[in-house]
Amino acid sequence: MIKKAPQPSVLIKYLRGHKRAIGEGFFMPWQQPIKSVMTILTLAICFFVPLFLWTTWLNYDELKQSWQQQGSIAVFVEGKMDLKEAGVFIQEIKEMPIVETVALTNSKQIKARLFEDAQFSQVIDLIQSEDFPKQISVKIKPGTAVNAIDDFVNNLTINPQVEYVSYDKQWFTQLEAITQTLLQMARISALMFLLIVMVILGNTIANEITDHKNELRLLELIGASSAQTRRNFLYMGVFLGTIAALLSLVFLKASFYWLEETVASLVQNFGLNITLHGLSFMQTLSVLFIAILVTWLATRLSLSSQQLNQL
Amino acid sequence: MISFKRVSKSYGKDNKALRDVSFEVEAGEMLFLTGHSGAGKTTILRLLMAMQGVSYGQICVNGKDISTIKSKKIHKYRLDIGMIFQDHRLLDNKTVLENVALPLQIRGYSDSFSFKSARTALQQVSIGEKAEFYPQELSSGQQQRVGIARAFVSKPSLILADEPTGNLDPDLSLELMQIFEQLNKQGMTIIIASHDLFLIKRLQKRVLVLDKGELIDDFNPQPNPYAP
Repeated sequence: MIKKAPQPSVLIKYLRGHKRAIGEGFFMPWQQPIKSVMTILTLAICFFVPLFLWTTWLNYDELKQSWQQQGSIAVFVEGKMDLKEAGVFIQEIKEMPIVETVALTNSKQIKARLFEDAQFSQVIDLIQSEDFPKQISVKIKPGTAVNAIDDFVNNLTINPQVEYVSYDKQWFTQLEAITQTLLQMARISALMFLLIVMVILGNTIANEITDHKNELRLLELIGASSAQTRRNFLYMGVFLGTIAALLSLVFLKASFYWLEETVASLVQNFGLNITLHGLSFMQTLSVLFIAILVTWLATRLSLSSQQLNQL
Repeated sequence: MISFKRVSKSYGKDNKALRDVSFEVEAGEMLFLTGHSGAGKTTILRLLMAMQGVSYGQICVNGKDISTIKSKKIHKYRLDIGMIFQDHRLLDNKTVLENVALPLQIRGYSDSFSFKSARTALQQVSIGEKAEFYPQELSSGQQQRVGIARAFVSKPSLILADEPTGNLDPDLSLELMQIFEQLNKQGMTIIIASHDLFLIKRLQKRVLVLDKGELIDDFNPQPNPYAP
């Protein structure tokens, strides 16, 4: 009778298998270093493009909020409305969910502001006799949909205390349209580049499998399961993806550093005070997590399509 | 332990590698498969390794029909078999020690246990001092010893060897056969495909003779009383 050493438990076998596969997966790409560096660079560029679009989008969102606030709603109420009534009306508007701030400007303040303008001051002189209405300036919460703003304005218009509502609908609509277009473009680009990542990684893994065909066949013949033979490649794919994602974050940092001054000068010309910012720590972690997930998925799909058993 | 019942194997319509082959092998037996090239020796080993399925008939190992093993479970069946190839099939990017430790690592043993057992196995085949070498640094005979050590390091109950002495000189071949005999004495069942009749005669073990896929003889040679 052959005396065998006691078999390790399934869990121990599983953990040891993964530990070895991590080591081998890390080592495998360096057997052909130039090829691996090229793959990492290509993947990094593919990760960089959607990442750059996403970060630009985050910065644009801040810019959009700033632009949206420029388009505040001016509500002109009847001149005979006293301050107490105006206070109650302002409180009603404040309680609306889409409203961020409300400010009352009386007729004297309006006149004073108009007098500051050289051209308007001449017109104001002519209409001195007329009493100006009180004005309530309403700032809408950032990100509010144009439809919600529309409904809000319609409700104000039918209010008997309100004489006139000035609202630049076109501004909000255009801003919304630009935002949606940019968002869609970013989404499509991100999807396309993630697809490219999957194709490149799939191709790399397929080549690696072909290069290691004899080794894989041997492993199967000496009792390795499909999962065991696949593990090294899975870790190799994840390793390449992680390095590429880290590199793409470096590219992002570098490109934002390069763009910082140009963008700062551009937004200042538009009277805005916005600084370009990169990703937060949590956003960086999310990018790494997504990169690992995408590369794992690409490798897994590639391995399944290679049918190791058929080698 | 092993039972071939009317096994046939065809590749395509006209190419019959095995024709109606039946035999049984007891546990702990050592036997040779012999015959000319294309006789069907390797096909029998490949069928036993479940690398291919039979076209007709049944192969039972330890009472289980191996054609009923699902592809996902085949690796479990192979865990109890050690295979030796004529071309050695050693991994060039691993040292001799790593090559031999591989079957144990696959079975989930720790690295320390695997390497310790691999060193013992290498010493058994008289190549312990080459443990840290790479396969390409060894001669063909030394590589074959490594292949043998890899096959028995996990102490399987069955060892299959496909022309293990194919490229070796007679003295070296005899040395390797003595290793197989030692393993057989430890209780391992050993099936060797070989066309080296000199060697087969020297070892005085059971012989299955194949010709064009048919089993034409199954005999146990008697020791030669006049042999020196």
